[in-house]
Amino acid sequence: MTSFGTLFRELFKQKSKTTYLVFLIQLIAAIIFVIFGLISAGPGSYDHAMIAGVKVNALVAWILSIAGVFLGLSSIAQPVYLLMTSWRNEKINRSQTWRLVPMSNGKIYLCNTLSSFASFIYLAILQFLVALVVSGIVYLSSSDVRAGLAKGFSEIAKYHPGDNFAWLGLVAVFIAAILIGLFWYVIVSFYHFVSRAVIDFLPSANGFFIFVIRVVTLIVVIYLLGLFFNSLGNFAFDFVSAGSGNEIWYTDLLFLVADVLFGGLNYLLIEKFVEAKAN
Amino acid sequence: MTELLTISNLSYKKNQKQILHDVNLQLDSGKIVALLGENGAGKTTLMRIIAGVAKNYKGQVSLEGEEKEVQRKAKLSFTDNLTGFSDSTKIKDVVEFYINIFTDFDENQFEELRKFMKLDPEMKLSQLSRGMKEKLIIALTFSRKADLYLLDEPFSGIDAMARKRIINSIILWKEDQATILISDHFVNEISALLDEVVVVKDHTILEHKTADEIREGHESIEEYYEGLYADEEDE
Repeated sequence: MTSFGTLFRELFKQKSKTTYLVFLIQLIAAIIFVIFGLISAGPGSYDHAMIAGVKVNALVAWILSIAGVFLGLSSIAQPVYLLMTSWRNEKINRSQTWRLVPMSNGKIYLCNTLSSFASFIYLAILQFLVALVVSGIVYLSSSDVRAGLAKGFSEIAKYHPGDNFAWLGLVAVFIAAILIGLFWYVIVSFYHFVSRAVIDFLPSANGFFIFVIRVVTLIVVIYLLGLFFNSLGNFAFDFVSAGSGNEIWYTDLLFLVADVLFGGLNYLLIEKFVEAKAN
Repeated sequence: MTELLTISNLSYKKNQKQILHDVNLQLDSGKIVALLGENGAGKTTLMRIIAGVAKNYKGQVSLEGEEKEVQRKAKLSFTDNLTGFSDSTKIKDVVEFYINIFTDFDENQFEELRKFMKLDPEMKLSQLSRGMKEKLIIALTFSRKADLYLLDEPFSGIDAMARKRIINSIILWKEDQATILISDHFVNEISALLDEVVVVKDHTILEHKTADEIREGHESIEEYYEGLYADEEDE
């Protein structure tokens, strides 16, 4: 029997290739954008670059520009990556190669979903590391920058921003981001499994009829989601006492239940109804 | 010989179409068995059900007494077309996957088979011809120490000379107690290997005979198989 950890590592290894590819494309795109910006702005456009009121050299300014554009492009790269991995996820869910792994189909599904999500988080970590490295470069670039930043931070510290900052709220937002990200993979699989089970059950159909089944299934799934979030939403909102500032915990609870419920349904669907695609 | 595979009252429908109906089959360990039948007879479906990748069937399938799919998957090796890998995957990467995932995968056995099949580990799947890909699939399948090997039309793209060499060597690649269930259209080429023949017709097992029983009737396996369809051809 294959262990959960072994399959997870294997799936993550395969998916991280896409992570590196997206990361690389994002980086190259950022460099190209900055070069174009440089060309259109003309020579010497970085000569007067400043950080925290301190003049920095052109190279640091250039690296900083690339990092800025790179991080800006994350808002495109992450949704694109989410779509790419969802597509891959569903291909693996029905792949005979993967379904022959000596593990229950439900566990293969869990392993696949979690490894996709982990690879998504991995991309976010790589993007964060770029920000960290660039910050380090800027910080080390000159003593004037360090002095300028220190002065800026000490000014901010006078207002004791930490006293009123809701650290617990930040944790809740972080948890919500994880649960919502996971929900995307879960709901895509739910739609895929339900439509596949219906297509396999009904008499053989042509391409157009299959398209109609998929559209109808999509409408039903959206309706079910609406029903779920409406009915559970009212209950959960009372539970966390609305207006208390804890609404983000309400979101956490809602998506936790959604992940467990629809994930559980997917587990059952793949165990009982959704078979591997024939070679 | 001990009982290896038992299939009882197996029925399978897909898209409201009966693919298999009331299939009953029992195979012992240590045999080489041909699974014969026309295209679309349900041979591949039967293998997929045994392998645990086809769903929604009725009836029981047990391998060494184990009915759970996960247990069956651990005990059998099925020729998979490797569609789960991208075309840019190299042979050596596919092998690494098998080493990591299948605890019964024998790396040394694969190395021997790879040399026998003349496969370059640096080649990508997209660079392989149909025959070369089938050779790789056979090498991967037989590198696992399984109790049951399911070979679904494994030689259809392999040239006649290589096919002959592979068929002659198959018996050396399996443990004595392991059973091979092989579906193939080249009945005459595999007939010398066979211990038993199973014929799938009209959605069920039409006949299950030993090769000796067929030969006792002064027929070759090919003649026997063709005889089952003779009436239809006359009509």
